[in-house]
Amino acid sequence: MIIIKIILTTSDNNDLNAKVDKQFGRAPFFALLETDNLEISFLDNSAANASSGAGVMAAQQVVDEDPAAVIAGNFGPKAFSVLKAAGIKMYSYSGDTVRDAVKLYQDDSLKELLDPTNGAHAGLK
Amino acid sequence: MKITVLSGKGGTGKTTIATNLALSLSNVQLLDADVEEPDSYLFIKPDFADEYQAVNRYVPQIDHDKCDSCRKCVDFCQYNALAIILEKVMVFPEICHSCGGCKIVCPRDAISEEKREIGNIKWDHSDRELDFWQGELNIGEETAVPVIEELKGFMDEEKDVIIDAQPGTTCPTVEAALDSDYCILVTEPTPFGLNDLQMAVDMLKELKKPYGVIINRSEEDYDYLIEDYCRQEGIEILLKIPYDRQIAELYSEGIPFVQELPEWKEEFSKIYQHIKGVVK
Repeated sequence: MIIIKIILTTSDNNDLNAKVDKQFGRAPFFALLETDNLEISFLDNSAANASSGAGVMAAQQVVDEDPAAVIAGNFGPKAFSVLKAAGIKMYSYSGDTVRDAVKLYQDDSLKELLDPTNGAHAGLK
Repeated sequence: MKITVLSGKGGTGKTTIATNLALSLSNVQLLDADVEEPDSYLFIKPDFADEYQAVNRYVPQIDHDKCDSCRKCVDFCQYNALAIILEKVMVFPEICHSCGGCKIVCPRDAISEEKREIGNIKWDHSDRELDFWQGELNIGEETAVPVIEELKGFMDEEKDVIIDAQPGTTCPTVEAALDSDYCILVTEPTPFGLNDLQMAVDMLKELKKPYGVIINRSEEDYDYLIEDYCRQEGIEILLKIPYDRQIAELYSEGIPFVQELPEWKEEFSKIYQHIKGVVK
């Protein structure tokens, strides 16, 4: 079986039950997941508290991990263009856990995003 | 004398104060430095004619033949305006602050600077008493400060200058307040008004500017929210503008209330005289 690595933005770093975060650029964590054996590890999103350009910085961090796809609640316009340029597929998932999101991904039930879901600065609280 | 009108929070009546104050004085220059959403013009109704000056900024342009994707520029940029994708540097000009650092750190001389228009300055000085200038940031641009800097470059030293700043306590507001002799903080008697006033006061303490407060939409039963705070902090309340139907109606029609209620002109001139005394 081919190992596919995907990344999900998460609000916590608790195994497969981690919650998928609503935002991309300012999500606290990235979950790195291998879809064949569901092996999961977490990275801190170094852009979470960036004063500017969080979407670009987070996308850079994701691109450097070279995943096949990224799943997050929403993607802003700059993150979208970076990930798109890198040829990484993006999926929006507004449900709950990594486990649920991955199941939908494997069933091919998540819709690939062709446009950003958010305007700029949507992740600033 | 230069007076900046600011508020920690949007919608408190900053523009109302700035425009009515300006219209109550003579030989005055009004600068609308709320460049993301300039709205003083709604009350001043200027004739901008064809007067227009672009505000330009320089952003990096990458020569992909020279670039070897070393990543030094991406790592250097504190604003995350650059990313490296498939060994190619991408530039996000809206985020760039034009510091030029990427160009300096590039070991292969692959970065040059490209001119980019981010906003403009418009003016109408057909009126002798009120010389009106407005800065405008183009839609989608993220850095307002260069437009405000450029706008301030047109300040007339012969006149009293009133600057309508952007609400909040971020860089554009600081930039607007930076060269002023005095700051007027506009607030409203609500918990939100108080909270954001406190933030604005903290900012002005850092800037070491003298300042006073104007309570807009003042209501006897609620003013204590602001009054108690100002008493504790030893901040002067310059004026209260009542929560009044006629003032609200004039506002909604784009009429500065000093035009219809000339007694307020006197109130504003008094404040001005008072501020003059404080500054000297």
